[in-house]
Amino acid sequence: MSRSPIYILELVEEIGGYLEPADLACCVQVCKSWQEGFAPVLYQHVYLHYSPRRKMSLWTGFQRHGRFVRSLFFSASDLPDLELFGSDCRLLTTLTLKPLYYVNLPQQWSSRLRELIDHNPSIHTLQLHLYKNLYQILFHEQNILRRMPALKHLVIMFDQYPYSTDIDTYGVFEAILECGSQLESLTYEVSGKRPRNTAKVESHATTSRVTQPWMALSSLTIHDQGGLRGAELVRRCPNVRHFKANLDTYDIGSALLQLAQHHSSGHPSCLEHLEISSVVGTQVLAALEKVLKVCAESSKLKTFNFPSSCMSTTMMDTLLTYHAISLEKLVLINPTWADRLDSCRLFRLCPRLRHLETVVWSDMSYMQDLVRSPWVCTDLRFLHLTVRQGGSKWKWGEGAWEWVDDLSAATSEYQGVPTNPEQVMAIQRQFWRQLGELEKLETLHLELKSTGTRFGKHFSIEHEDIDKLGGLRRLMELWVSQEVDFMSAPVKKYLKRRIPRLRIRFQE
Amino acid sequence: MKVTLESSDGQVFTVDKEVAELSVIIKEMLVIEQANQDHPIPLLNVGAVELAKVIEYCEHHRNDPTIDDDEDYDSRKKPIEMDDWDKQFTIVNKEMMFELILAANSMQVKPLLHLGCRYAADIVKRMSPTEIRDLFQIDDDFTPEEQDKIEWEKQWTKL
Repeated sequence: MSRSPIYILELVEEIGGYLEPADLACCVQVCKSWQEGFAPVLYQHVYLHYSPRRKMSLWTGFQRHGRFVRSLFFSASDLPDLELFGSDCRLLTTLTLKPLYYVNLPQQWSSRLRELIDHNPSIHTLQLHLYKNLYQILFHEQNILRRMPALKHLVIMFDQYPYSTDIDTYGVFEAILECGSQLESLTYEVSGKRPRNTAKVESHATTSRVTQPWMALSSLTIHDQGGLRGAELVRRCPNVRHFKANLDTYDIGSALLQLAQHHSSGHPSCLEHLEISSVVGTQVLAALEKVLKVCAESSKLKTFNFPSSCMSTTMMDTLLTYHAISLEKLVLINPTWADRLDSCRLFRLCPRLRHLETVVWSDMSYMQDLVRSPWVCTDLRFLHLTVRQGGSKWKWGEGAWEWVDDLSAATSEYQGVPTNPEQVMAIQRQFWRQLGELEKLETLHLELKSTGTRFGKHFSIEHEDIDKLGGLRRLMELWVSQEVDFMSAPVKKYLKRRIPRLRIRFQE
Repeated sequence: MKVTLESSDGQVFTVDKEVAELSVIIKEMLVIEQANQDHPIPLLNVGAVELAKVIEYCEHHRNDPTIDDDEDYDSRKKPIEMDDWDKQFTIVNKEMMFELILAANSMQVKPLLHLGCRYAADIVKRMSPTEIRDLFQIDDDFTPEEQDKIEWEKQWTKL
């Protein structure tokens, strides 16, 4: 093999790009020249899950190949000394640290991290999962972010709610504010809810302080139920393109108004992706409507992800009026959403829609509506349908929750709904056939949620229904909920045979 | 408009300009040497057999939309999507395919290069080192100690 692409570096990189790590690991064992060619690809992304004390021999490997490592994921109880990483490990661009347990020697951990960071000035992406006793050391005593000149993407995740004690003064948020102007994307996630009996912490930075806007920041993800940090961050970022938030009611309201405010104060909106979770409240809804209207003047939404039960027909109208033409991804999955999605209208107005997650109802009135109108969007690549059984649910209306016990009694549309089992089966069959017309579909999630037995006819898929589904040549993944298994084994087997590369998975 | 190309062993091929321009190198050469198109463009690293094959590929794909490499970076993880023609095209022995990859590389015919590299990757997928050595007739030049070291090292990549 004198002339083989295997000896040309760029080609080896390209070939290696199509191989999984397990295959690459075999390639480096073939011979010395293959090792030389494939090792840089194999060691480009390294995942370390070990306790370094137990696996000393791994570190000799790191020392030999450290110069190839660009992205390092490290999850262990303690961080090794820089010497173990080897002096060649100086070209890292992405560093992810996830301490396995409560860190025993935080001072040592911190000083070693500083050394590693100083040794790798080209790190542009830092992801930190923070433990309680690390906050102070990494951020308050000395802000490590200031030692990272190339930092552009920052992800900070807390293992627990940090504001219950005086940890608040450890100033992680302040540290982020200090380096914000160099960032292009920021994720700040606090998991868990604020413990009871703790005061809500107002943001450290007073809103009156004038700061330079962070012009480079285009992606902002914030998950924090504890204060006004969402609004505080949005206030600094006039050019947000991707905004994802899970904040408490007051904070999200202010944050949304702040987005609209940027637009009216000389920074035309760049917003394209909007994802908002857990919103309750009329004021917040008003703020969201305002954002949809104001931002549309200079930017059109591609993603609207609003899995909230507060989603309403009015909001849907606003969304479609201002953003239908650009919408590519729509997620409205909260099963308590009472209003029904007019899928037919949605598909007609949104020519670019590729990704839809929504709830449909297995009761016959809804099914009849679905199959009566040609609701198919042939360009859809991803579809997640939560099929709901049962009639009762919580409904958000007139600013309060109300329990609608029996939907059929509450609405007049239910008159003339078929109850005869044969008719019911025919409608369901039609529904499956229509799914089979989504010819570009790559992923299909089907989830069945049952809340009552008012509409006792089981939603199911039978052998004779799936002929059309079997014709979906591009379908690669089919997810089926395990709560109610409505797809029998022969049906799955048949689908596997018709679409050989299909993977059928189960959702917990 | 026609363009003439000359292989390393002196054979001359005449093709449509738009076909030849699938090669980044030729496209650039045509821009530089606009006045000088009477002479065939010499391709010093590409033999006649391979050049004929590359031209065959370019003829078939002349109307394909150009793929933006950056935009489609996820595509490499997806299963290979080849039309029937591409499948027929890749039914050649691996030596020929490797020559084609090298030709596509020196002429910078990007789609053919991607196709070839995927083909090469598919060959070694799920093969053990011994099987790979047998297939490519490569000698194992590692000492047992070196082999042990590699065994250890590969553990710290996520397998």
